[in-house]
Amino acid sequence: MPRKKILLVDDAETILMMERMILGRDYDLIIAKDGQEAVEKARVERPDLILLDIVMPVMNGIEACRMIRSDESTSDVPVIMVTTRGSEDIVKSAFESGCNEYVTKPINKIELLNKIKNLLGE
Amino acid sequence: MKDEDKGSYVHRVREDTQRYIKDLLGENERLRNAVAVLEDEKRHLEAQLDVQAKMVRQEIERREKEKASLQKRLQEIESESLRFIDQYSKVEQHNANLANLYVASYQLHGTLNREEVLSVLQEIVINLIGSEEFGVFELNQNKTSFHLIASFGIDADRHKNVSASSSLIGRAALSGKTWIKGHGEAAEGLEYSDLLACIPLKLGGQVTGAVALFSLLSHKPELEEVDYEMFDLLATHAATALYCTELHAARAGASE
Repeated sequence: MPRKKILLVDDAETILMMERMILGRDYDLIIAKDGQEAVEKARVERPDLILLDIVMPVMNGIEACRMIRSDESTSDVPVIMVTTRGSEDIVKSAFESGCNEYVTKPINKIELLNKIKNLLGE
Repeated sequence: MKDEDKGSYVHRVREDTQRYIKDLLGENERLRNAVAVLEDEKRHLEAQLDVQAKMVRQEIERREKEKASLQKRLQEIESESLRFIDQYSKVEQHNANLANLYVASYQLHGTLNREEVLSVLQEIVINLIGSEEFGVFELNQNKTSFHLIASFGIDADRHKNVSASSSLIGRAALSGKTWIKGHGEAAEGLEYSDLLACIPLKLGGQVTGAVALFSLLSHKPELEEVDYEMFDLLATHAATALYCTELHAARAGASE
């Protein structure tokens, strides 16, 4: 069975490294460091899931998620938002932009893996 | 009817009656024997039934014991399984904690550029500890104050210089031990008494600076075990990484 592909989007190298350590064993990983790059890589690479930070340069995660949802080729890719802010308005904005799930930083490995597996139907 | 005929008739009736009585007695005897056989058979069947009932009762008892034993074993397996799940979860959490520490250490020593080290330090505090109100301070040469060199979520001008003697940040940092609200000495009367934590940055046992945390992210209620490990790591690795950037800059300056 081919390994599933996850697009990791974050401008913080510490988070990308953490995510690589958590997910690298089970999934093929692609990296993007801002929202714009995420939208482009999602179109080209067609990942099975996107892990998207909210606060990023160039284009934030909320805007990137909207664009991913509005593009026919990526509209059905599951998106998990990763945010330092778990406040109600941020979470509401994230879901309004079309994300399927969200996790807060610091990332809890078990919580993240459960949400990914759930969205990938594993 | 003549007397002779009458006598013959009576005789015949008597004989018939006697024969009938004899038959009746014979039949009675036969029925008695049949009843005795049936009684015997009934007793035999009852005895058999008793034996079988006893066997069934014994079998039920054996099955009940077996069921209880299986239920006990099932409970043991379930509790063992829960214990394994709990252990697995702890190991996973432990791995995640180690990964956090590894990432922090790797990132801190991954550059010789001072700004990049400070940036990594900020990323660690925000993303791995979970605070968006903190400052990174450096101790001045005469050890009288701490100077803010990086911050996030606080008024940098207001916290530009912090007294080493009259502030909680200064006192806690110079003690050389990480100070945590509710765990360390009382902070009444000192500046920054509402501080959450202060991590001294140490180089060869000497305090060179401090990381002061003012609060945690709203969804993180309290510091966790891994945070204390991270504080220990920052205490030495952040100071070393910053010192290396100075050495590198000095060497680069000397070679120019």
